[in-house]
Amino acid sequence: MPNSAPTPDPTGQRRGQQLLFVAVLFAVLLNFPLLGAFDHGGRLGGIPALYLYVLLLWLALIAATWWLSR
Amino acid sequence: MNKLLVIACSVGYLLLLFGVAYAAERRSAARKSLVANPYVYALSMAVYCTAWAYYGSMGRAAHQGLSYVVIYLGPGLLAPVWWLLLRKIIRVCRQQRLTSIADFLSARYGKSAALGALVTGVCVLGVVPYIALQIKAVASSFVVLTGGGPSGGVSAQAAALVTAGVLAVFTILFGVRSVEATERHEGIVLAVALESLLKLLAFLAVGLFVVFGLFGGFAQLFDQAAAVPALQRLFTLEGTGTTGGEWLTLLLLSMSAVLLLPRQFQVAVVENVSEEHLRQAMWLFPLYMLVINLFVLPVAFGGVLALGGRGFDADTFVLALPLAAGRPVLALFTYLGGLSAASSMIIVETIALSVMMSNHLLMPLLVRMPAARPAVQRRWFAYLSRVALESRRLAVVLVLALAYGYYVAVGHTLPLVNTGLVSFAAVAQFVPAVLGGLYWKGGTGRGATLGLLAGFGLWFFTLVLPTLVGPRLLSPAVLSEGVGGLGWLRPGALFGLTGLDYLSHGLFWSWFFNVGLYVGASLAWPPSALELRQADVFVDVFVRRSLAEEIAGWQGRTPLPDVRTLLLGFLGKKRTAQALRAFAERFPGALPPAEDAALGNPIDEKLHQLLGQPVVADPRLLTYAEKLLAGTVGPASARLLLAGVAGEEQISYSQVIGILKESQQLLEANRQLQKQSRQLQRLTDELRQAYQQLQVLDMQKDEFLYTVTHELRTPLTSIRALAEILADNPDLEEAQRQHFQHTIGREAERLTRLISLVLDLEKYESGQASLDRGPVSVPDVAHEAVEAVAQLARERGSELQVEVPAALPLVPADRDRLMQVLINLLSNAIKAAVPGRPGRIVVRAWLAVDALQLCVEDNGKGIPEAEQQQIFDKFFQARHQTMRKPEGSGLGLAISKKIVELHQGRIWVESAPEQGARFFVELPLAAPAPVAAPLLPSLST
Repeated sequence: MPNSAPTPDPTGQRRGQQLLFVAVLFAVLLNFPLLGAFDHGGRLGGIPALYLYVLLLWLALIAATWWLSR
Repeated sequence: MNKLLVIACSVGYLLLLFGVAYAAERRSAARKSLVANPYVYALSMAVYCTAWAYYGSMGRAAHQGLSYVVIYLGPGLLAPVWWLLLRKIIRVCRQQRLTSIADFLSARYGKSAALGALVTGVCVLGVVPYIALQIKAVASSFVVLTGGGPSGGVSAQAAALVTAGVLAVFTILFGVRSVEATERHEGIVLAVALESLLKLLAFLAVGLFVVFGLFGGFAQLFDQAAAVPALQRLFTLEGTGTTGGEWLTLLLLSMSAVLLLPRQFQVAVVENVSEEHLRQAMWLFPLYMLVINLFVLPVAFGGVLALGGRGFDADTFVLALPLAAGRPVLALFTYLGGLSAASSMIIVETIALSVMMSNHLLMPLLVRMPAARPAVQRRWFAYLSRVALESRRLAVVLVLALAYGYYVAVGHTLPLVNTGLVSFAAVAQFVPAVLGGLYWKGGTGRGATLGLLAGFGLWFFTLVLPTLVGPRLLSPAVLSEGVGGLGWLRPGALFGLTGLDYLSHGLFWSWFFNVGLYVGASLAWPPSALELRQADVFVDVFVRRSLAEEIAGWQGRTPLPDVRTLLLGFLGKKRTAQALRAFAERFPGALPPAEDAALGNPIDEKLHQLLGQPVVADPRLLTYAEKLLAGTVGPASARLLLAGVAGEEQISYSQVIGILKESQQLLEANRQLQKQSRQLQRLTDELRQAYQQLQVLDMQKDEFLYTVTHELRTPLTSIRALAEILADNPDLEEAQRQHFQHTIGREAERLTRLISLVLDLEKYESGQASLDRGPVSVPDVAHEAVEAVAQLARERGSELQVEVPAALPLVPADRDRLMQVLINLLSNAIKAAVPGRPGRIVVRAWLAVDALQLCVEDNGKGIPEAEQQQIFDKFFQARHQTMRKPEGSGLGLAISKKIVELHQGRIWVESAPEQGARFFVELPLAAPAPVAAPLLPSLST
């Protein structure tokens, strides 16, 4: 049996967990009840608040994923 | 718009795709791949955005506001987890040569042919309507663009038929080329990536045009929309009636879909070139989703504002808006974007389905049939392999025909978005078995099959049945009264469950039974040995990497020629030789040496046959061959084929458990070994440090002894010399004699003092010295010490001063020792006076935080900074005799330091050459905590 030492790379494992954390965090941020807080008719710079909230968080999620996947 | 022009553009566009695919294949053959980069990979994943995204989102946004965005947000939320989840799937599929979701589930649960067929069935039934939807989108967009008759008319159906036909040809040409399904389709991938780019550009173009061209910006558009109550309502989810439950359901559905839809599995797993590409795709793909969705809501609002009340279907706004604004070219461009969205989806989905259908519905039946005569076995296998390839081509046609038929029969009445979501819910039924298969070793084939069957049944009942209600199909009574008039069998409120929307209700019940049966049945019946082995292979794919670590199930004496015949039949000569060479490289010695030569040498083979000594195949070769075949005909058929030549795969329980345990123990042992070696390393380091310390101490001891003896010799020498003079000259003058005797006495005294100091120091250093503490008044001690050295000061002409306030608190200290320190510092200060300048020495004391500080200040010659630490070392002075004349023993400061440290205090010096010096002593005001009292003294009394 070739001895391919089963040592999971600790930094890789950490990175995976960080990414999982980001996914869970944003899943909570982008769901009710938090979503409900922005679910009102108000507008920011002409753009509906809810629309803006979703788009900005989405962008933040992509940026966080990009940062962690480098 | 001119029909001919639109047709010409469409055909021209599709021809362009042919060209691109062809070029990519050429480059691939020349090993200059155009697709082996993360950008093409991420773009090809964007096949997720179909014509439904392109047209249907607009309709959904116009009616339900923001809820359309969830379908693209879900994949975005899942993307970061790809690094854990998708990478694992890719690794498993690469290792096991799996090419579809049906392969994956079938292989995981004991290479079950039945499960593979079931998964294929679910996929076909769930996805064909979705393909029909794409055809419908192309047809109706054609109608809108050409301004032809009503949707569903002859021209629409003709357009649909032509589209389906052209795409079938394209798919067969570039998608079904080789019988090896593991082969990547570079032409298709590049074409799809290009189509993704085109649909993005087209959509952005129309979005920019509507928002900035027609309305002058986002703010203005939303201002106008806010003035219309029907649109103002869409600004919030509450206004559209989208509940938190529906939002979550859509998220879960889209997450399942982006991972498990056959086309997504195809582009993300099968066409993946390198796992590293995931890194970029993880953020590029969600970025694509974000950008393409940016304009959906504004354009939908724009459409309602500009075209509302004119009877336009909101699904067609992207075309109708530019047309109404007199921009036919933009409309044509948008139409091509929609065409590309639809065609890329159809192509990839059809490839994936065709391989699944051929490998899981047809091949398991065919491979069970033995060859008519053993002699023609190889030809029979070759025939089977050709059947596999041809059946895939047939399946492509079949899938497209089904989709077209569905479109003609019922599809054209369906809204775009619902059909897509119902498809999503169908593939969501795979989620429990896939996740369980990847992370839970206990899942069994029986559990997966039962769960999938139940989930699929409920999916059909709750989600499909309501769509079939119509004049020609089902009576609406089914919905309101329940099937057969049974109230608890209403598809929209199963078991009386109300309060959920259509999708949430369906997903809830189907997952409820799916997960329940999967887990329950898995726990109720133990897994078979083969399932256990496969579970281990899947779950621990990152732990155990190589084929060699897998448990070989194929045993016994299988003749090697039989295995080769099998491979030759399915893979052809060239590929077989290649594969066997790769095998021989990985496992040197597994193939008999003659085999390498015999590969292309039929004479040797004949020789072997004549000699009647068939060469026996290595078990590892059998496993390897099975994998190769799995990449061609699917894992279940491959297992059946191998069983045909090697007998049943025999994995006994005890064997699997034994080997699993063994490998577990090996892992554990390895871990222990690593831990121990780390501990050993640490111990070695500590030992080395201790040894170095010992060496230093030893050196210091030597040095100390040397210095002490040196110091002792000086007075001894003078005593001896004087004693000799006295002995040799009995007639010495009385005054002289007395002087000598006095000197001898003084030197002896010095000797005694030195020895007692050395003993003192040793006592401190060995930790034997103890303090006799008591409350000490520092001003008293200071005055006493000054008196004690007053005589010396007078001799040297130094002035002594005490500036200690009388009201200082008492310090817990050993009075005599403290006195010793002060006298030492004072006498040092006196001795430090510069000749010719009257010494001036001041003793000060003051209160600091929790401590009392004493300072002895002189105006003597000072101490250079470099020596300020060293002067507290013993014999520092003695060691630097060359620099200045020694005065005193050289132990005073060392002992003072020890005494102060014994008091938990500090001693240090501040000085500069020729500037005098200040010696500080800091003593804590509170006595240090006594040694811990015995526990619970009350008990002992």
